[in-house]
Amino acid sequence: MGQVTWPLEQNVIRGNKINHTFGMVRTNADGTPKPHQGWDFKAAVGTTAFAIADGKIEFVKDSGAYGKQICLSFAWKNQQTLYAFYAHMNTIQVTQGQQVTMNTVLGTTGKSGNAQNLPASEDHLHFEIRTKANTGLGLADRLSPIKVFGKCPLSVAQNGNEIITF
Amino acid sequence: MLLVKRGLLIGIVGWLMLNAPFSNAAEPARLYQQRTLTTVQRDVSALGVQDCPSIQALDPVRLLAVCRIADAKAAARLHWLLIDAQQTGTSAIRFRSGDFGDADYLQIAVFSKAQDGAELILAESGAEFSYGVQVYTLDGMQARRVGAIPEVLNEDGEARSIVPALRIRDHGATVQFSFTAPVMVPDRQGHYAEVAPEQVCYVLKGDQLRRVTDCR
Repeated sequence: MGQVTWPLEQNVIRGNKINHTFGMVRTNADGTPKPHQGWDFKAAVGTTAFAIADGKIEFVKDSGAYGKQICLSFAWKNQQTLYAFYAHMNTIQVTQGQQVTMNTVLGTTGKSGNAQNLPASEDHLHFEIRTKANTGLGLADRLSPIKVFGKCPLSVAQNGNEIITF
Repeated sequence: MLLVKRGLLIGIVGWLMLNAPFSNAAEPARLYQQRTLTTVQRDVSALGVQDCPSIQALDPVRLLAVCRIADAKAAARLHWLLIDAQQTGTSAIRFRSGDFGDADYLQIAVFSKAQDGAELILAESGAEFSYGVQVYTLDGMQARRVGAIPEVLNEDGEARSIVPALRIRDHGATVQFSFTAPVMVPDRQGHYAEVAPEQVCYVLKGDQLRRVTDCR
């Protein structure tokens, strides 16, 4: 038996829009579908982000489109290891290799990387569930977070106190 | 026999000496080079647009702005605008691109050819990764979309901008967009495949940009 919880105190999909959930939910200028690799949770800059499970900080880094990033490994069903990935962070309060427990403060959300020019109304935490710490492009090596949380808070905010047992 | 070979060798070397300088001189003129754009601070609210994260000057007369514009059917989406810096009011907007879907960012790169000043605009959009570029021709104050290049670069497991790996060359009646590094080609299921640079390029003929799979 294991447990996970939500990454924020209040968890709701950015703008209540399906194109901020996982999968081929985005469109490009010419109408072609584009993947979104995780969920965008609405989060004003400075919102505290928490570890969703007991685990280990696989890496923290600041680069590219994701900006400031945290990757947390945690045990999942059938002795599988999954990775919770947090991007566009503002501050990071953990270090690589650190063991953390569920609800440990990881840092605060922000708009680093390619989120830097978004209007305040679009501020968010980009959150992924990965099957590898270092993934391929697109949807490769990623799962929909609904597989971990069991539901998607598209329109109604999910309180972060909920603990999901698996 | 030896004299024949020597004559042939001299002939080849002579031909190279005669032609190489002209070839070398012509090559840069046929290549499109990326222009440096200058960020400017300008109030464009009189043009009817409010939220413009980027305004850059292409020259003293032409501005390129990236703005979020809402319309009747959709929330604010990114567009790029060509603005006549010498005009005021909404007539100063000489071109407004279509929207860039639900992209979170839009960056403009301009390439021009020394030979005749021909200009191309590459508008790159994306979110956590690059969606590739939309390509436009630019003639003075007139812009026209000619196609898209969805290829991206794979750097550290992220799909990043193709622009640094683009080589754009004029071939007379056509313009060829080739790549200087392996590229990642997206499919419609969210996965990417790596392709060698000689196996894909784009050819602009008239106002149509076409993908070509043998570029040697």
